[in-house]
Amino acid sequence: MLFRTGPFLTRLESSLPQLTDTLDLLYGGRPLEPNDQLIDFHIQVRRRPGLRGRLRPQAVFSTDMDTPFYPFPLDQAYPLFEWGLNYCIAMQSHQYLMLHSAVLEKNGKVLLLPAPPGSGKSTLCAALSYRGWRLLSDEFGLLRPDSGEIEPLPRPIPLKNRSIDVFKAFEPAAIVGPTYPGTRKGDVAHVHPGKEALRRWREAARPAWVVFPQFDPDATTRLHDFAKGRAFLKLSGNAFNYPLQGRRGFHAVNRIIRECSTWYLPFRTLDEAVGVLDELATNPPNA
Amino acid sequence: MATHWHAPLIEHFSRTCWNDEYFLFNPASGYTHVLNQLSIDIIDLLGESPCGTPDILSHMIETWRVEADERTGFAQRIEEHLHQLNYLGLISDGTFDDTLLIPDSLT
Repeated sequence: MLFRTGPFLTRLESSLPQLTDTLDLLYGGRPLEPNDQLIDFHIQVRRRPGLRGRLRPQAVFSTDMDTPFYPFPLDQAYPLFEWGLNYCIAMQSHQYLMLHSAVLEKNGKVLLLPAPPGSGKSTLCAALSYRGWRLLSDEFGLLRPDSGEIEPLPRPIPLKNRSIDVFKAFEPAAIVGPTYPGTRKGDVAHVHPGKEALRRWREAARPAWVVFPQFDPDATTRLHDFAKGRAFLKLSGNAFNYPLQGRRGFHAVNRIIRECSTWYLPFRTLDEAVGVLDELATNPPNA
Repeated sequence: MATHWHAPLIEHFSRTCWNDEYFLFNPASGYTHVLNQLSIDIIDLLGESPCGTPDILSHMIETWRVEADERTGFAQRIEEHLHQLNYLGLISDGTFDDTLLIPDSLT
């Protein structure tokens, strides 16, 4: 199977219905790809062979003769594939400065949401993608250092544990894949990235806002100024390949900090956070 | 022999300043350092010409308008900054081997 995720073309070999059925659901609406292009990633997800594989069914991920992960239970083949694709991108895509950030676009301007696990970043990202923001990526901000634009990488958004039900209550009509209980990251389910995001995968855009979100049930949801120096440190420190980029990585981050307003957003509910960010996009305050 | 400080890599550094903090990228190490104004003043002074600790101190006392009763503590700060900057590879005490410089094309 050939399929595109943003700038990357992947050839996936797998006959596991646990993987391919979910892939069809969560990448449904993606453009068809002609068969004569250069492939970025060659991935196989196969059932583990031999006696152990029969006693305890497992899925094995491999790429270019490399098997970077221990086998997963067979019914977790889909999350294994998604994490494996993350691995391929992180290890090979150094033409980009890879920011660890959710990325969305509205009116031609990009919102960066860099945040560590547990901050509610992915849940907020999924919520925004169903409220008029175009998803560019939930995990990788693929920044072209020469142009300063972010390249779209629309893929399903992984939600974990309690955030799965929170999001389903927020957007009951959303396409959400099966919940995989007890993975290495807890319970995981994936949200469809949206047909609009898949269709517009070529449309890069420039960052305008950097917002560090933090879910806090006791917070008053509002934007706070975030010092640009601290934003520089957090953005560069969390980029996957900042040290490898050398001088151009330094200048790329500096350009983002110079051109964007930088904020901290503690939020109590998804509705409130979406409202604040919509307001930021339509009527930006002076930073 | 008195230490003769210099900043042989200064032309290769990239820098920016946000909120009174300087962010300086050193391509020789690949590290980005966060520096205060005094550190930057020392690096810039040594970038102009190498000099010893007493010359650095007298220059900084003038630049920073340090009062007479504060000069002992200030001298200690200068010493600490020099050794820290040397440790980070941003200045050198004279033992620097410039053949270790990596070409700009690789950074």
